[in-house]
Amino acid sequence: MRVAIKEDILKEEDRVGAENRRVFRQHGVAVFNLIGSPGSGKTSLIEAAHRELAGDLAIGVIEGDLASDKDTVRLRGLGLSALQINTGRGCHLSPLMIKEALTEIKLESLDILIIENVGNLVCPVSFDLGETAKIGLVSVAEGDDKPTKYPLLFREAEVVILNKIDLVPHSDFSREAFYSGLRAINPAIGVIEVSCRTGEGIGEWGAWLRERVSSPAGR
Amino acid sequence: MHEWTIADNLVRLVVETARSEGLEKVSEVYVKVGVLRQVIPETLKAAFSRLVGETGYAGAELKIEEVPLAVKCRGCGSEKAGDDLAFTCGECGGIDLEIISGDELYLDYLEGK
Repeated sequence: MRVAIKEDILKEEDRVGAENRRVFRQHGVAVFNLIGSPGSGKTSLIEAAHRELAGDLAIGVIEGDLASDKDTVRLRGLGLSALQINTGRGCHLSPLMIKEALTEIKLESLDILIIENVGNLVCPVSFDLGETAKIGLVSVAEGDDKPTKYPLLFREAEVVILNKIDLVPHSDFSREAFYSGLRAINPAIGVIEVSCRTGEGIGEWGAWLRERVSSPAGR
Repeated sequence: MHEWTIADNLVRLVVETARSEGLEKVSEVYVKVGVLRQVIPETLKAAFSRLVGETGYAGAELKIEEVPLAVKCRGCGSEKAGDDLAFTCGECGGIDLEIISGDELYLDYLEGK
């Protein structure tokens, strides 16, 4: 016999994601789900945000990695409150992992929570952790074809950070190809060009965070 | 590899449904997957087969229908379907597009007895 179901396969994940979102809103915390390849500079971008906003806005971090607490140790060394989640063989953070992590985070002391997802441009995009916005991070070293190859992230992200722009003169990266690929996927998306190494563009990254947090839809 | 998480959720849903319907055996499970979900069908099938094998419904076969992207321009009303992931209206150049299909990820129905 045939049993009709017509149910979302990820409905349980989405339900927990929505629950997380309610908790974040109750505490007035803006939450950013940072998605980028391994080595694109996710942790460096968080460090840069901390330097820009320190003393002004309190940032907490959830670090998602398959293994190790290297990134968490690195961020704590800068005085950031950071919590490590190891996903084992899991290629993305799930809403439930975030829900469990929230029992160990003092949301009332934070303005911003940055969730550094597992380095991967595909899997993390499918899971709503309850974030305020997704941020897509790509670096010059990865090449200019990433938006074309991984369209969903660039469709879902609210802003794209292009890191390592100091490498443009030393690489085959074409800004024209990058922007035309990106615009085909998401014509209206904003892009912030930065170099976490030289500090170029980091002021703009900090300003974006400030504005996003203070906007009415911000938290 | 998010196919494993999808398969995990899917198997739970299949087992719940089959039990509540009093099914002893599930032969086929039909799902619809939109192109925007970036799912590799073979990987999802392999993950499903492995995980459903650990339940009382081992042997259930997963049938995947892939749904292409279809968008409608909110500006000029023209519709476009196909695998081309371009989000600019081919008619008027508008960027305010509504996704009509292509983001599905649902369990449609199952066959069993």
